[in-house]
Amino acid sequence: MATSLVGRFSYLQQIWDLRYFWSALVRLDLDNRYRNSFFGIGWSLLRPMAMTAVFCVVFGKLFNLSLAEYAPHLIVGMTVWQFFTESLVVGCNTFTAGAAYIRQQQIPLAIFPLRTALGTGFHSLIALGMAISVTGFFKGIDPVAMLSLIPAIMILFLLSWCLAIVSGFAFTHFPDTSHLLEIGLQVLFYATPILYSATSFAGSRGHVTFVLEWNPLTSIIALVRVPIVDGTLPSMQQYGMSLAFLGVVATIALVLLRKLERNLVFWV
Amino acid sequence: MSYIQFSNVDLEYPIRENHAITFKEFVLRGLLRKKKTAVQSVRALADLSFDIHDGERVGIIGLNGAGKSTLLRTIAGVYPISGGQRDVNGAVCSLFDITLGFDFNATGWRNVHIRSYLHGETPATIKSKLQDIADFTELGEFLNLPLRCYSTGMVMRLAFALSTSRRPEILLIDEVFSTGDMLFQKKAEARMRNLLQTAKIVVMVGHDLAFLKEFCTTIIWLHHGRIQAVGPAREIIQAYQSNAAQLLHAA
Repeated sequence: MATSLVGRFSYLQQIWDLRYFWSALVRLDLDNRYRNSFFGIGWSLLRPMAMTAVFCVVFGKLFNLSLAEYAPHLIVGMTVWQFFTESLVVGCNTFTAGAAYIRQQQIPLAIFPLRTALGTGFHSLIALGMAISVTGFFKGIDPVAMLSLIPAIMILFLLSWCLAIVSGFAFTHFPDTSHLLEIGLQVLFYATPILYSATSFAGSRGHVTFVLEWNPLTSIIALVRVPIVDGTLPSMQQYGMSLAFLGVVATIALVLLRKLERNLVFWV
Repeated sequence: MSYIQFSNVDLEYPIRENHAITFKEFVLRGLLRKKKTAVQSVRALADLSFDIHDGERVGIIGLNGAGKSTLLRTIAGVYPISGGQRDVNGAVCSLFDITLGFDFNATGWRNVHIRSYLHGETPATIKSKLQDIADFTELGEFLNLPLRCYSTGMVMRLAFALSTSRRPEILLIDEVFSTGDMLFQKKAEARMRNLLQTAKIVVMVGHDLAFLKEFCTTIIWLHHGRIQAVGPAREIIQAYQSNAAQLLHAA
């Protein structure tokens, strides 16, 4: 027990010792993504923004909601969803992208999913800034409730790191992972309250409410959406559900690292 | 004190029958209770035992596929061993494929930083080395341009300067590499010799037997992942050469 605890700390120490390396990789990724400065950022945000605008017009009418009511709800939901999906999809290539380094020297492999989480996290923070601006424009912002975004962002960041570890290992062993993910994420998108609200089905009983209640993304999105859009603090149940989900994904990620990390060099 | 100790080391190299199996196939095999794994393993290294201490210069020789590069990567800790004991003490510098890992969209300087950070440098420690790298490569303003604008020779110069800017205790080299034009080749040779002399332990794989005979104190001769012979350089190289001559004659 003591040895394994020491082992874990020394693993974290190794990650810390290589901080200049992985932060340089993250900066390189961001530069490649935002090449040509400001327009780069603009273009990379254009697709989700365009999708949000289309959804706003179509579903706002369908749900009979005003733009001021629906746009903040949708844009925050889309931002968190985008972060979640990018962590998984970009995470698929996390180890193959680092193969050249993995084959040269023994390094803690968790730095590569960390690179993914930091890169997608930075991008999502810009998107979140836009979402907050849109909400501020339509409804105003409650600064006290906004403080609860700090733990929410930490939970999301850790979740992203763990998801990238899981999808990275899955992809190195099963190359159809990214394809299966695409299908799974499409289903999950409609089973998550992004376009609609979790309370839209309140009062009705059946499969939909059951799915929404037990879908951990409902709570994860609420951690960000509630303080920005509603100006209140998320409920303890939402925190509990989010932390439980993070715990499950983190456990899977740790088990995969422990079992498969050492032999990964043979598969990348 | 630096040392490398291998005691009955085995290394199994897993190889898939096909390039990879899909998740669908994995699940189907499980449902149909078929053999789940299509992975075979090749015994790349078998029962290797040797000790290398401070001051030793060791050459690894053998035919293609003998396990020379695999042994070097196992010493570096890149490959996990499947049996025996591997004990390495000292800061290791591996010169395997020196251009591997370069980002061709990033500038020369940026690649210098990334590679140096991978080797454990910090922004503070790297400062003193930058001028030396710039002077040695003679790339001047090109260091501010992306690597995709470089010729192959220029990339090699940068890679060589970077790889040899370290002062390791244990130096592992896979094949002696050529580095651009004739003038630079001379410079590179002098720098390489200096690096080889300053490292406490050098282990190198090579096919240049004359160089190995001149430089190495000990030779490990590998054959099909096993040690065929180990001992003083001249003696082992002579035995290796007569064996090769016999094989040639038989062919």
